[in-house]
Amino acid sequence: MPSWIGQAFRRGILTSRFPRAPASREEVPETSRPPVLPPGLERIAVLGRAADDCPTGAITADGLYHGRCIRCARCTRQGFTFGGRALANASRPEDLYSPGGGPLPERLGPAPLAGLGRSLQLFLVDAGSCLACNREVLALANPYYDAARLGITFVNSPHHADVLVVVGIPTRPILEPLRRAYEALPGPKAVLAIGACALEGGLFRGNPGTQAPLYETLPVDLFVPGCPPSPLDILAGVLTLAGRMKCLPGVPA
Amino acid sequence: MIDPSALLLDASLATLFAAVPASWGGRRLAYAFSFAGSALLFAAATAALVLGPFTALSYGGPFGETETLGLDALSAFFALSASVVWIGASAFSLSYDERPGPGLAQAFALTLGSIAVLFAAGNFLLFLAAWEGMTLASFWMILEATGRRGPVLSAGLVFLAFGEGSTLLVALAVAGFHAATGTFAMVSVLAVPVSTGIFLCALVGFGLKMGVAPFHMSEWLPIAHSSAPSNASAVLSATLTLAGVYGLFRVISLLPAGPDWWGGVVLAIGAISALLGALFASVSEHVKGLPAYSTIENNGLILVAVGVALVARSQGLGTLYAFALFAAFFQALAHAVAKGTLFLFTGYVERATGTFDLNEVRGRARGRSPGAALGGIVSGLSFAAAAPLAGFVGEWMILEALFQSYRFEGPAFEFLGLLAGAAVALSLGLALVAMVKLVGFSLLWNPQDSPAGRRQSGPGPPLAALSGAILALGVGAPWVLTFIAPAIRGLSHQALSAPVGQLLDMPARWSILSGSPFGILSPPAVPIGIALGSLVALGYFFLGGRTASRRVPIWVSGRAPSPVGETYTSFGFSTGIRIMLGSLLGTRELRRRSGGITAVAIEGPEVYNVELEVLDAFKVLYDDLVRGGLALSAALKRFLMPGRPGRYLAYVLITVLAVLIYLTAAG
Ligand code: SF4
Ligand code: SF4
Repeated sequence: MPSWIGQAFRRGILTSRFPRAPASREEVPETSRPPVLPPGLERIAVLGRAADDCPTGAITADGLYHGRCIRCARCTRQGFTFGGRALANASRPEDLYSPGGGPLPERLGPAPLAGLGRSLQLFLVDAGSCLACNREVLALANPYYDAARLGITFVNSPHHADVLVVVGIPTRPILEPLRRAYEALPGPKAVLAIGACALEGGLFRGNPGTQAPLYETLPVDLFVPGCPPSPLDILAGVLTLAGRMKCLPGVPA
Repeated sequence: MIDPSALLLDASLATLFAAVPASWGGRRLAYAFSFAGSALLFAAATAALVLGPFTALSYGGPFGETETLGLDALSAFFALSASVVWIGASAFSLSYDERPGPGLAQAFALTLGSIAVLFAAGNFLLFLAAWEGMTLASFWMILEATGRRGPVLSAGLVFLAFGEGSTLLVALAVAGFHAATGTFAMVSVLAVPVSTGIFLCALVGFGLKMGVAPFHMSEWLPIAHSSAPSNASAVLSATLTLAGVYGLFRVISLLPAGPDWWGGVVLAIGAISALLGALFASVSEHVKGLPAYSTIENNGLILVAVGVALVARSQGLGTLYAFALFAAFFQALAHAVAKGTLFLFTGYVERATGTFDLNEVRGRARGRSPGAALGGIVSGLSFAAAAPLAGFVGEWMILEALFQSYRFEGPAFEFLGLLAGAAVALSLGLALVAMVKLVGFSLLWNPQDSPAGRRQSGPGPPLAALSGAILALGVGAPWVLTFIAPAIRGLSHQALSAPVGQLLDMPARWSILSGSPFGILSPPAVPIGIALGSLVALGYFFLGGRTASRRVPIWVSGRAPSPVGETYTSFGFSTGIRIMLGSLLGTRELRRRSGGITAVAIEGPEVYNVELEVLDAFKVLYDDLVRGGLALSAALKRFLMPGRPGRYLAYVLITVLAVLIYLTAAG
């Protein structure tokens, strides 16, 4: 008997139980969760100092744009800590703004694909990423996350897809193919933007040769913040689009 | 009093052969004779099935044997199947054959005549003579392709080599019969050891003509490589292989129930052929090569049914034996008619577009002749096993027979049945791909830039009539089975009735039963169901049902569609199979700047065309064998015939000595 068969029985089922059970702390580690400003600190002063330090402009003098954060952890020197509530997504970039730097309010994105039942096909377009987001998205196909158990699969042509998943900051040459891909998707369809780059450009915002933000090119339905977001964040985003997330099972802060 | 059925058969044979001299009065006259002869054969065969067997002619032949010409139920069934194809092919040839000389018409007539004699022969000597005549006549027909040199000649020679090999083995089988029975008359052999030898010789000999693996080169090579004329291809692929099936059944009908491994061998060969044929059909880009491969597949399916029948016979499973025989016969009939139609359709495509490359056809055969298009679509659908056409019923029956292979005794046979079932199911799926490709790329898909083909009116009526036949065979399958039951009764040596019966409240004969407790199919109910379903859909549509459609440009990896128009090639259509089943197909990637089939253009620093070449492992094997054989004979020649007179004198001396020694020893 090949050793892997015995191994499979010894180890049992390892596949994540999300979304039937909440995501565990290991599945969404501290470092992939948003920074928060713990209560009890001198907010104005901390925000001011952190704003100077933050490379992406996620921190401003009066709040935190979660969509821009790249989890670089520089702000921790000023008193921010990681480990905010994970698994947040939003349909508008403004919804990812938290005044005062506190945790994001619990809010569920729209569900434009709620009529599609249990089958959802994803077409992934890399608009100009560092490949980290790609890896996290494609991790959904591995045996641990196993999105296929939820009827979610990746397809090779937009003609067969329901969701256009975009990662990375749009570079100029990809804009036209992106539009073509969106055009080629049969309706009902949705666009899911993954990671800081696809939200507002992340670290590369304003780079010549790129054209952020993505939502000016395509009608983005849902943003999943992070740099990169964890696979479960992405899965939650896909399930939200399909109306299959009843509430955000965020990891407790 | 003269038997009217006998008169019909005599008239038919005379007319079929009279077409040869008639060809000097014009090709069309010759084809008209062939048409009339085929129609008479149809009538004679029908008479034999309805009124019972008859002998039309008997005369004293060589070796003091009585030679007879006549039809019994078994040969009548095959004559009937072939005559349907011939009627269509002759009618089609009237407008198709535009060659300067009468050669093709003569070869065509001779082939038809010798196959008819083969069916009618009541004696193995005449059978052998007709078998050889059929091989030679069809060899001539292949040579009638454009020019007799180069690839045409070599393809023809391959056909001849396989054909003569087949004659040799069939002759061996006949010799076995003679040794066992002391006569060339078709009488049963009872001893098992000699019948095993006869069976194996017959299996290989007739298998060679059926083009089953590993002899499938004999099927596709002459047709595809020489691009043999289409009416010739129809006769070759539909009825020459049918002659092989007939021969196999004739021999089986005369042999005792052998050991069960006979059936196992047949089953394995059939399953492999079916899979190989379908696989290569699905990746073939040749308008004629594709149906030729499909013939390999279908003959494989027939062999699968024969294999199930033989195992069932050896193991005493009466019902399954009868059902599998019915399946084999029905599939043989369905294949002959549909394949004849499909080849005639390829003739129409060839005339309309002037090419054999599916990538070049590009839908140009569309709208040139509605009747011919109908023929292509219906026969293609039949091979794709679409209900309610003939192919669907035949393939359903074969699968049903395989489902019952669990009744076999012994795990080896059960397992074999299981594997064969999987192979058959896979080959059916691949056949669907192949047929969609052939019919789709010649008729249904029309890019804007492809020029119009040539308008034709000739091929329409025969093809439309044949497609009607395919539909009728499918819908009327229970009646057809009842009609051909006498042919199967002859094989089972016992009374049996067609596997048709009553289902729920439907009238008797509306359904085919595969044996209790098993599958039921009601072919006449299928079109009714389809019609009702269509009515519902149409009703929904007319009562204001919503339909939404949106046209988007073709998706070419996000690139802008090329200004000259992106085309979906037939090559691209099956490239998935080329890649996925690369290990079976021996797919190799060739990079070319130009030439070959432009398959995939990959943009990068350089633009080049990728051609995926598939390889028939058996062809490689034969090529190696040929090369080895040639090398061996060259070496022998150098050794035995070095050109020294002394050596030759020594040979003469040795021979004389050997004869002397033999004579003294014998004396
Ligand atoms: S972790 Fe985020 S918020 Fe903190 S400094 Fe880096 S980018 Fe800015
Ligand atoms: S969001 Fe972060 S991880 Fe994702 S592509 Fe941009 S830089 Fe890479």
